[in-house]
Amino acid sequence: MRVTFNDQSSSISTLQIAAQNLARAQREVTTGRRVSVASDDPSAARTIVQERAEMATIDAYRRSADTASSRLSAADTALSGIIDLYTEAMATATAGRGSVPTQEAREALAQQIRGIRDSLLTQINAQFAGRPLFAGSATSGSAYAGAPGAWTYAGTADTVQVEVQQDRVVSVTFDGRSILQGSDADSVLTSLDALSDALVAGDAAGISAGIDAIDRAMARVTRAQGRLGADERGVDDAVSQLTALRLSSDTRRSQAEDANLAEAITKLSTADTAYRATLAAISQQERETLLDYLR
Amino acid sequence: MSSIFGSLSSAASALEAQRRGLDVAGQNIANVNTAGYTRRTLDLQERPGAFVGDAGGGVAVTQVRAIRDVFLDARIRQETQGLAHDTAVADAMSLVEAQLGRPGASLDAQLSSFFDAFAALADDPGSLTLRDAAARESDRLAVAFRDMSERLGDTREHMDLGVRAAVDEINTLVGRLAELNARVESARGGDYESLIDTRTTLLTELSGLAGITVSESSGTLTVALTSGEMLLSGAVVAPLSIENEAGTGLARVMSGGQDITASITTGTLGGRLQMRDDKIPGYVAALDQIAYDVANAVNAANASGTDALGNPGGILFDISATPAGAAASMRLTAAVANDSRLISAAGAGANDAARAIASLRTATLVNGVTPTAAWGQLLYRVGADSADAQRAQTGRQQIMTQLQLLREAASGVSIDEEAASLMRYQRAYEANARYFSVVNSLLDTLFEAVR
Repeated sequence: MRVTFNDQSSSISTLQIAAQNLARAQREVTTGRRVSVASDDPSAARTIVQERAEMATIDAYRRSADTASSRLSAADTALSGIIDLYTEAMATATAGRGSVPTQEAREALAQQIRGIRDSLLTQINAQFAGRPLFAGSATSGSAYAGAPGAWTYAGTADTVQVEVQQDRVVSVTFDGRSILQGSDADSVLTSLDALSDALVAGDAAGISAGIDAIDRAMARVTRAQGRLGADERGVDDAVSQLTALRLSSDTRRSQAEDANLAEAITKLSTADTAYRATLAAISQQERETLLDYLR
Repeated sequence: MSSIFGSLSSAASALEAQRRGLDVAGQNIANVNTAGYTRRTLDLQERPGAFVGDAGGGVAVTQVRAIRDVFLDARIRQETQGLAHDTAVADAMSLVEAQLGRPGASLDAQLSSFFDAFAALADDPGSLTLRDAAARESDRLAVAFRDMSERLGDTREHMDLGVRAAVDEINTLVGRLAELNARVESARGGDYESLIDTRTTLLTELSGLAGITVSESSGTLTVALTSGEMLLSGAVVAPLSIENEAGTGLARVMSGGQDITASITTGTLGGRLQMRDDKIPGYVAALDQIAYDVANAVNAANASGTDALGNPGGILFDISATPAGAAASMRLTAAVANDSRLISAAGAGANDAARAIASLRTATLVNGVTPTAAWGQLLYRVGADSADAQRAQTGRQQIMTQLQLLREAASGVSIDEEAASLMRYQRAYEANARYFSVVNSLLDTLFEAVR
């Protein structure tokens, strides 16, 4: 073939390709990413979008799980406190039974029962981060309010539920009435008021009724604590599963998105050499012609 | 040689021929960098003798010929159509791709933030701060959809301007070709070859704008679009025109009153039309579908709950009634923008609505996939289209480079060759001058003899 050495377009397009490769290798090393625009690797781009969305979902679940976990342990503490109070009330009421205790002793016992009632009120009105724990879905105020003999539940029957994993929902607030009253006619607060009155009056039937009411309340709160414990374990399970899922999701994302630095740097130095070689070849191309030899 | 004076004229013709050879070499060297220039050679012919024993009458210049490969020129025109199309598409695709943003840090990230905000609100439905955050993220999501739609729309308009510019250029080139044709037909003189050079260059330029077929019969050049519409026959021009489409205002390419937009598929014009009428509208439709499905699902979830004022929830987003144009129309309702308490996350069912909105992130809303997966699909489509266009362009470029090398091999000026020609003609000139002086001295001798 006849060669003229005049056609610049082929050398320029070679130079262009070398320059593009160099620029791409530089971008990979400086950004640390294999994929900067979708056309670098379209299917990797789709993987990146999906895995990032997956990780964002997991992160949101983890944040929910963390909040749920703190709330559940606060509620657990409150319920344990309530169980202790019931046990104490039971002992106090039992001590007031029969003809042995004097009137003075029974009055002292009645005083103790009122103290227990006040503590119970404090526990059932427990708050976490400014929100009542035992007032259902109510977001402010107290679960129970009122005066001796007239306690009213200010909360709601439904609860705030939080999704800690796909399709795994836990309640982070509780219906206080189901704990203190259940299917009884009155809340245990009112029962304690009646019990203290019965102690003062030495009313054996009233004291027995009070003890029975505390018994039933104990069963309710124990059941509630059991459910809560199961939820707490569920949240812990969810967190450990989410951590594992996030790790594998991040691994998939990294494989699609991140540059293998050793490989990228090798590629960069190869591209750099190729670029320099192309430049050198073009600069040599037209150095001499026949004219240099004709004198 | 019949006489000694004949010898003189023979020497003179040779001197003239060698000088013309030097001129041709000089012209070639002068145009070594001229685009479209084809190298010239000098055709010489011996002058025959008049009778037996006659050495001949010297040399005659028959013509200055351009070394042209018509087949290669046609191949280059053919590839130029494809290359220009691929280049236009690849360039526009890189633009579209850049506008969609980096995978994982674009609309998909905004969708995640939006769902995150509602998940946080579901955890603590009583918090006004989280309500405000949810309203703000909703607004940002709507803005992100609108911006994306607007950017794609801008690129489409940009393509439309490109279409108009390309049609103008085609008409200009066709006009110049017509002028050239007239001159080629009338003047078959010394400027013939250079006119043909210019015409070849213009035809290549024209084929880069739109696919053309070129035919020449008895000196009349006819140029038509590949779809058959005549652009030029000899000096008669049939220019293209532009009509604005009703409603969209987009340019329709017209030829003799016919809309030929759909039949132009190659050249820069074809590439721009493909982007404007096929690719970009496809991407916008996919984006619209995501916006439409997300907005409606969120609206339904919000309407199923109760707001913080105790009223049944309303809608969060204003959105068009059909998917077409949904992304551009998506807006956080003014009511919610003014009062985040209208977001449903309280009262009966507590945070159910907020939780339902948050869990839409994993719901298969858009053509059977989640909203982010649908975005991933769009990104994949754009990325694959862009990579395809780049690959096609690179492939064509290589073919083009080869063709240009071939053309250069046939028609290009080689400095080495011309230097050798200069030498050859110079030496020949010197030798002929010597012959002339020998004949001249013979005459002198004769004149001395008769004195």
